[in-house]
Amino acid sequence: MSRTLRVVTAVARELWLPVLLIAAWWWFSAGSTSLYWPPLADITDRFVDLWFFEHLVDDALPSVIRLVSGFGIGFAVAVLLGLLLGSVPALEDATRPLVEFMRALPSVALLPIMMLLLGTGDDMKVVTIAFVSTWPILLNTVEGVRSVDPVLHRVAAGYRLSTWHRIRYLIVPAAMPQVFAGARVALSMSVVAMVLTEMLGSPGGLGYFVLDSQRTFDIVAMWTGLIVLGLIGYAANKAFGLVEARVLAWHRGFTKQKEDQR
Amino acid sequence: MKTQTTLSKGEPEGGASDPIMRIRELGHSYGERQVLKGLDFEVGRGEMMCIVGPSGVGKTTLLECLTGLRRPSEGEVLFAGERIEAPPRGLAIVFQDYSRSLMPWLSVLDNVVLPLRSAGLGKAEREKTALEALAEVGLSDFTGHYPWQLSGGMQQRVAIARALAYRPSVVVMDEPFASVDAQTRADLEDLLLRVREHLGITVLLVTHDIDEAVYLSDRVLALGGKPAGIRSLLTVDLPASREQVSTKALPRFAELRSQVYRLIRNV
Amino acid sequence: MTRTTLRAAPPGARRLVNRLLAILVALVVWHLFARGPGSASGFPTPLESAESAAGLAGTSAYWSNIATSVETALMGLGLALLIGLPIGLLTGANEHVRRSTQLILDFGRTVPAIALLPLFLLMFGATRSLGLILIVVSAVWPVIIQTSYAVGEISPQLRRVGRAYHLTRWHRLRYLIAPSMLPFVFVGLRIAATLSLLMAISSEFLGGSDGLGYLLLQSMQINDTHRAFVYSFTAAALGLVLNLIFVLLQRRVLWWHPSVRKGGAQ
Repeated sequence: MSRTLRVVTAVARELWLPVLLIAAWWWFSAGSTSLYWPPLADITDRFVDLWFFEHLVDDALPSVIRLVSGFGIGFAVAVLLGLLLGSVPALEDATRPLVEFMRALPSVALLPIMMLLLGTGDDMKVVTIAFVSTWPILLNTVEGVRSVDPVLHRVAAGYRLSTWHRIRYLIVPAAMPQVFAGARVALSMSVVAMVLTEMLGSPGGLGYFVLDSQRTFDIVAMWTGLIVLGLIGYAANKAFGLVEARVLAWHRGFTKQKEDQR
Repeated sequence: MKTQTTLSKGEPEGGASDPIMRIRELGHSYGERQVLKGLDFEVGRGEMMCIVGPSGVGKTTLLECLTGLRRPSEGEVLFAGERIEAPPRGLAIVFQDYSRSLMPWLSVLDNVVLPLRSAGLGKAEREKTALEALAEVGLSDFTGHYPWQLSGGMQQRVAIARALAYRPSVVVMDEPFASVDAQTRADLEDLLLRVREHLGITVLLVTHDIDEAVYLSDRVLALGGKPAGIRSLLTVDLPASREQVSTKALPRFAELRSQVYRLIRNV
Repeated sequence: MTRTTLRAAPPGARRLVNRLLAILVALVVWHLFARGPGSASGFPTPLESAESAAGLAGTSAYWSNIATSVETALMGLGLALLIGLPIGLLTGANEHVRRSTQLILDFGRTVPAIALLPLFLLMFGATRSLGLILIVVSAVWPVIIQTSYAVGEISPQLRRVGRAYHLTRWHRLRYLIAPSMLPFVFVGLRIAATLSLLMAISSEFLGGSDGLGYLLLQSMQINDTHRAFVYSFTAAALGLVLNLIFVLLQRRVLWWHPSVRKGGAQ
């Protein structure tokens, strides 16, 4: 088989079912008069209408910015705290119940408190997203710091590595696989938090758009919003995957070698 | 030309004129259990000393005390006249488990360069030193590779290059060739001899392999007993230039070998 | 230098003391915050919250609503398992199926199910069904993905052992396949359970059907910050209890697995 044919076949094997399902959706909803399931054709028309480019800039962009800011803040705080706690076992052990409690707090239960303190604006939204993403990353960072190979610690001691170099060249890279595992979880939780805060907070954003469309019975618009939300969630995960693949390129090769040795 | 001189190369036995390390009445206990006791010896400059002992005798503990990774419960270790409290500058360690002692997220070159960062060298100088060390061990073509892409023997060579780039006075090696196959071990042993000859560094090598100890060393320190102490400090009076086949075929080799064997086996 | 003197207190007790100390510090900070920057918004102090909690714990409404939420979560979880396990098994067992569904699973897993709430609210109203459908839509993905993964991880060695000893299909399933899949399925179960609880409460909160989420909504609407706090904490406590159940369950069911054997408590 020629190379192109092989690539096409591989792609086709993965796409045939989704394409089929979308086609089926299109076909079965074609003449629909149902309130909840308008024709897919209508949805796509409205989609182009609404989102290119008005709402993309007005709603989608702010949502994404809040998501990225909140996630970024949560990530930074969690990694810094995690490095600290991971290095001071006594402190980590003492604060463990508190951290576990924070992590168990469902984002929806957090909202009343956040809204109480910060109102309904952007601050509340970003802080909530940041809060939600902090805990899974924190727990994983601590785990990552503690799982640094003891041999490497002795290497660092033997070669008199400075504290900064130890952190930068040993601890942080060693903990990265775990940090990313936690960050993945934090990302999906952040997306949920983003939607929740927008549904409850001040107008603006994708979550608000979807809820508002439903309230005004503009179901077609609501569907377009759902699609955008789905696409953004998907894109965020894919982007994350790309970053992870880059940062952890060494990890794949390394674990493969360890497995081969077994 | 092979000569029948002692390997101390004209220096008095034991390098008493200016030993690089002095170990005085070293001992260590873990709680109630005493592992090492009464270790007293010197390491001469430029000497290759092998410390041999059966498994479990306390070689690792001794090594940790000698390198400053552990504070001994008794006695002291002097490095260039100063008492060791922590790993001293001028001492490099090569660990047994090479696959775990190299950082998998750094390339071969970056691994070798890393200790030099904390040593305060400038970028150009770091790289130059690292490349020289890698050339010394024959890995110039692999500077961009990652450790896990290399074979076991090559990984250990990276670890050795890292030690060499550090420009130490003493290299301490913890059973460095125990985890590689016999052929690779022979190659690495010879590499070590070459490097040492070329750079004139002092090497302290801990091993359980008696053949290796006799083959490589100027002096062999036989460790034994419970708690472990020095059974004997033998001078290896084999020709200075060693060769895997011919040296090991010498009758003197066999004699020394048996001697060491008996010493460490005696409980 | 080694010491031979005894430690002042055994490590276990010391750890407990440290933990209690940390909690105490947190409570003090909370109190100061409530009295200081938070006083403008009526942020309750620890003592006030404790009082409200004690008061609420006496009411039957509190407990019945908690029960409702838990019931919804469990029912939803059951449905998600019912749907997800067979699909996961099929997907994992057949490479063709796996490839075909890869994109769909990838996509479905990242869509925030909570965004579908407005749609389902229209369709189902503020009822338990709303919660159930949301739970299924969000929890089914980890179940499918983990089960599919589990099937793939069954060691071919084990399969060969089964054939070599001519084990019956049932025995193979029970003694070889199911146990080796269990750790992975367990992970999926755990994630799904956490999502179930979250979705149950969220649907009540946003949709208005009975349960802890509804209590939370109510308290927010009448600006009763003290109660809102207690309800939030209750939600967190439920999450912790759930976590604890899983840790214990894991120890009992997966006691033989290396991750549990090493004594790691996760």
